[in-house]
Amino acid sequence: MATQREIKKRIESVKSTKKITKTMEMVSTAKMKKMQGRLLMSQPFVQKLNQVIANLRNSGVENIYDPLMQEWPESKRTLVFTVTGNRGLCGGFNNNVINNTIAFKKRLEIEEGRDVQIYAIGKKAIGYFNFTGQPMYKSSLNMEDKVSFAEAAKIAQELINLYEYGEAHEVYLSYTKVVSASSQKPVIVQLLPIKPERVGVEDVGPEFTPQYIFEPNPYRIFSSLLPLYVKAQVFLALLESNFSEQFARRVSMKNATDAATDMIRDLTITYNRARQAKITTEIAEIVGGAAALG
Amino acid sequence: MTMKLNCSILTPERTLYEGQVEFAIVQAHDGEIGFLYNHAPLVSELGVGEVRLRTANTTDFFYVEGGFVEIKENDLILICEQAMRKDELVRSEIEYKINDFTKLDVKERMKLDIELRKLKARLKVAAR
Repeated sequence: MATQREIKKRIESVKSTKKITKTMEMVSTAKMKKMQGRLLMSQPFVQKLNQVIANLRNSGVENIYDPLMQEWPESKRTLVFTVTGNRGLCGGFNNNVINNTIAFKKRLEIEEGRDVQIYAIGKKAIGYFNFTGQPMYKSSLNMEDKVSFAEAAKIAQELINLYEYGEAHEVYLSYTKVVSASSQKPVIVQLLPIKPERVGVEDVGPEFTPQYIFEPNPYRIFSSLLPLYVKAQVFLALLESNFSEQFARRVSMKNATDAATDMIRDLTITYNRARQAKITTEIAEIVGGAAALG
Repeated sequence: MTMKLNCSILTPERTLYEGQVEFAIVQAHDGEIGFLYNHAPLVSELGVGEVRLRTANTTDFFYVEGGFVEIKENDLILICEQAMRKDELVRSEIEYKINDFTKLDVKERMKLDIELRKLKARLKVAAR
């Protein structure tokens, strides 16, 4: 059995680890709240955007030709925009997204013979793809809580350009979607070309839609709405991914803190036993010694 | 009966304004549009410029940049890529930036023409 002093040392070390995990839990709770606020703030915008697109489509502007909605003939090249965090210690958050992306990539490559490139966001994804020696089309760090719409728009514009010039025939987003405040899951959604049946479908409100006046004309509005839609999608993906990361970190840090508490309790019991055993041995020795003298 | 429009200005990062207004003037892509109560349903592209919202005897000024305006059943909604309240714009800062532009040579100034136009529109709002 370990000596008293060894056990004491371990208790101390577990205690300090617990302090760290507890602090990290609180920090990520605060960050999570902040991201949640930002998510809520951006929701009216996205909803309204979907609504306007839905209204446009309902008012007889059905078969619109827009480059962003056209599929490329002989489409071969796919770009997967993968969003992970910069840091670990958040359970399976990063790995889930990476595994999801890789499974998706393999499937497209083997089953459909496509050429799949990866655009990685976040240190964790970059580290993984470097480690496994898989080339990335491009990579950059996750901006974490500094992410602004202007930055997201820049990235989205880059993706749009790649698509329009045919560098990529399809663009997918792979990120962690916020299903509800307590449930997030890694998903892969198609960003480009925009599938007309998916845009604004959820928000088709009442049957009756008024006859709009369009300034200057529906087509032009449509073709400038779509890039905005893509930008909003990218922005939302970054926000949701950040929220999910903080949420995952909070949960895993809470588990770590709980585990540390359990460990301290067990160690304290072991420590007391060791102490008791030592006292018993000492008494036995003294009694034995006295008996020998007498 | 109130003759007011429910007006909201939305950006991806926040809801900038929400409230009732009597008269709204919005910078569209090719000029300004005014909205009063019972306006016909309309969707228009926004330009870079000023938005004025008038309620009773106060007027609020905003700066908008790109996006759309939609009016339907007296709900006026502006969806902007970027928008700011007048009090968020600092006049001296903008003037300073514009000054920087005048130092550039003509070729570069042509390239950054849009930026300059945005700054000038901001200055106009800030100067109100």
